[in-house]
Amino acid sequence: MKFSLPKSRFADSLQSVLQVVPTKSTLPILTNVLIEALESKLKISATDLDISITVTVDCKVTKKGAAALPARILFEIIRELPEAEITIESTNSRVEIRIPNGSYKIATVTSEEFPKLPAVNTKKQIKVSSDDLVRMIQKTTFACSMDETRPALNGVLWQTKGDKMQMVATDGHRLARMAVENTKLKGVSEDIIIPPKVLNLIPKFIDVEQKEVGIIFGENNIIFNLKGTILTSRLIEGPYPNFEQVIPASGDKKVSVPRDDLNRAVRRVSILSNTLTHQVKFAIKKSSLTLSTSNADVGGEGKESIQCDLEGEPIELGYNASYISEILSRFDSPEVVFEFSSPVAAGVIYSPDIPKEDFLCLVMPLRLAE
Amino acid sequence: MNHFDITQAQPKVWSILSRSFSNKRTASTYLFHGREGLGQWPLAISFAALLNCLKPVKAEETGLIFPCGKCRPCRSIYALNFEGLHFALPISSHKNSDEMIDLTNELLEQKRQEPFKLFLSAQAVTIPIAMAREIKRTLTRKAPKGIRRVVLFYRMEKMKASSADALLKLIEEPPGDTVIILTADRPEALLPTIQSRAQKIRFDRVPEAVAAGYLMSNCGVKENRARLVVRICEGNVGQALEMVSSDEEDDGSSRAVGQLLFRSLFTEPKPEVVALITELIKDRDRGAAESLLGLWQSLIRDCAYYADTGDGDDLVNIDFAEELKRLARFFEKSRLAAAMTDNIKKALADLQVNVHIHISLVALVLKLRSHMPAAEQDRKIAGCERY
Repeated sequence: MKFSLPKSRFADSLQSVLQVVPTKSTLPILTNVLIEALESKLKISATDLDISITVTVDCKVTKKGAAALPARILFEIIRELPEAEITIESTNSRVEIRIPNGSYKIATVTSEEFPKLPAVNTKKQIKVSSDDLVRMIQKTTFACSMDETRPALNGVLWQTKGDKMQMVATDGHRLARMAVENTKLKGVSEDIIIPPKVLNLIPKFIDVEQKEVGIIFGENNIIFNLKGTILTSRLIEGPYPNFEQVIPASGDKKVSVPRDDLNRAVRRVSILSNTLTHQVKFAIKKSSLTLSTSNADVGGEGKESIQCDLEGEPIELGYNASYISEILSRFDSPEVVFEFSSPVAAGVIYSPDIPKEDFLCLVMPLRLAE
Repeated sequence: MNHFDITQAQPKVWSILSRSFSNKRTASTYLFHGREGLGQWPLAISFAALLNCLKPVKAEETGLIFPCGKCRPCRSIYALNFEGLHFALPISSHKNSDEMIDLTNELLEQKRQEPFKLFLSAQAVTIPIAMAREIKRTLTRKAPKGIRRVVLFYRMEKMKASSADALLKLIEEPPGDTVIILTADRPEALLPTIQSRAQKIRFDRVPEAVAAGYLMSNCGVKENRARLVVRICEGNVGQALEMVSSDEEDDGSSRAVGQLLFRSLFTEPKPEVVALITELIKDRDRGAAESLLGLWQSLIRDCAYYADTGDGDDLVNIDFAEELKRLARFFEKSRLAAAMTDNIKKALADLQVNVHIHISLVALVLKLRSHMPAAEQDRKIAGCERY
């Protein structure tokens, strides 16, 4: 294997794939990157077994070949090199990195030992709007569960329903669901559960010019083709719980509040809330919403009122302030609507500008002390 | 010994595993039980290789199937570097996950060098719950296509019961394309709920020729010595390797000291025996004291066996055979062997609870001597002095 390319191009590519290289692993091969010199292209791949990233860049290939190199050592060497054309050549079990005024040699592992990455068959690729994809990711992944006892909830459910595709995430206390129109996915795939880690990587690889993302649904994995970068992730074993049944059809009380005002007030009041429950009381009257909390540990109390517009009877309920704040930050509209029926039933939050079916968050209340 | 031969260490076990594989009736969870060092690790690795081998090889004579050892999955599995092979190993206490990975990697490196090597640690070891949780998390992901995942919980008895409880569901019903292998010295050491969920496979002693052949080819030990060590270790290759390496360290002198002390029990007056113990056994070396008592148990067994059968071919300690035949006379009529063995067992148990080593050994010597009537002792000691 022998190839040449500018230092910065090589360093940028390595930095991209390093995101999945574990610093330590009981599987030593995972701390390596796979370098493949193809016809005028260089493919750099890394994997942590859950996610793999392959970056393809143009380069001058003199001799085709492949080798696995220690990822962090390679990156640290390349990063520190001055900007110049660098040449990399493999000989036996080592590679030599040649720069105009010197060279570095590092040991390699045979490319065969590197875990086999799924083949990318672009013919099976379905194009999805990158804007829609990124929006769905940003508005849902935050609600994924961290609880390992219910593995399906550790991922985001991606399903196609009629002419719409939707992503859903929940941890049992809150839920986020976003749907967009996409007829291309109709009937293509069954429901799949994707680890949020890979979804959160996608926005980092999408640039402004990229309008569409290619997606390949595999039996055990999903592949995202992001113009020069291939992201692959293993799927989480299902089934996903029936989330639809916990979303209330409608509530008899609706309150519209200015989103920013509420978010800031919640964050301020929650400073004095219980450090475990983060409970904040919402006392909602016809035109005012009063947030209050007290904390016996620090002997503090907090109270703030903001304007609101309530349809229905006044109500008092408790919420985890962190959940409310996180949910509010996912909305773009100046106002949000809370809809609920009782202080002990799930309430939904949505924007008056977008239909509930397209974007909705659900949050379970906390029982208020008598 | 190559990968093919390693399965010969436990022919019955391999036969069960190979047939279950060829009949497509592989169990989802196995429990390999038997003393550590009988080949649980290499067999588990070979079975993982078989499950993932691209070109399994069928032996004409036996019809058994073996991994080819050449394809990419086989090579990666034998190098313990395969994406579908996961380990939960007993390690000493650690501060964080990085340290946990370092300790695990140290053990894996030892096993890469020597698959039969025993996991010995001066500190208490446990299988950390964090390690088990990480495996559990990994298994929630769908397996890559064409890979049978294998999870090896090595020395499962070292996992705390509360941690093991958290794995019940996983062990009972592993995800598709996943085989879980548990190993334990004794199945009873595991929770009944775990035992009942696994197919138990017992590991017997490794055939003498196979074990001796392994020592000869891997440690450069000569045949007579290899056979002796294998007999002493009752066909346990892991223990035999330990013995060979400790013999290399002390040049076999501890064994010679053990034999000398054993002989002196019968041939020297009490004060001299006690003086010898004081002189030859270091007070703080618990390992040396345990080895000495282990050797004595084996020598007593040989004496009793020879006294009963007069057959010198099946003696374990063949390097001490002539002396043993002479000492066998002490074991002819009495129940000396049973009484001595009981006392040694008690002394070994005492050593585990931090008794004063020297006092414990002296007390043992006095007890052992007490089993022989004084007059008989004097007469036989006098008789022994003649040879």
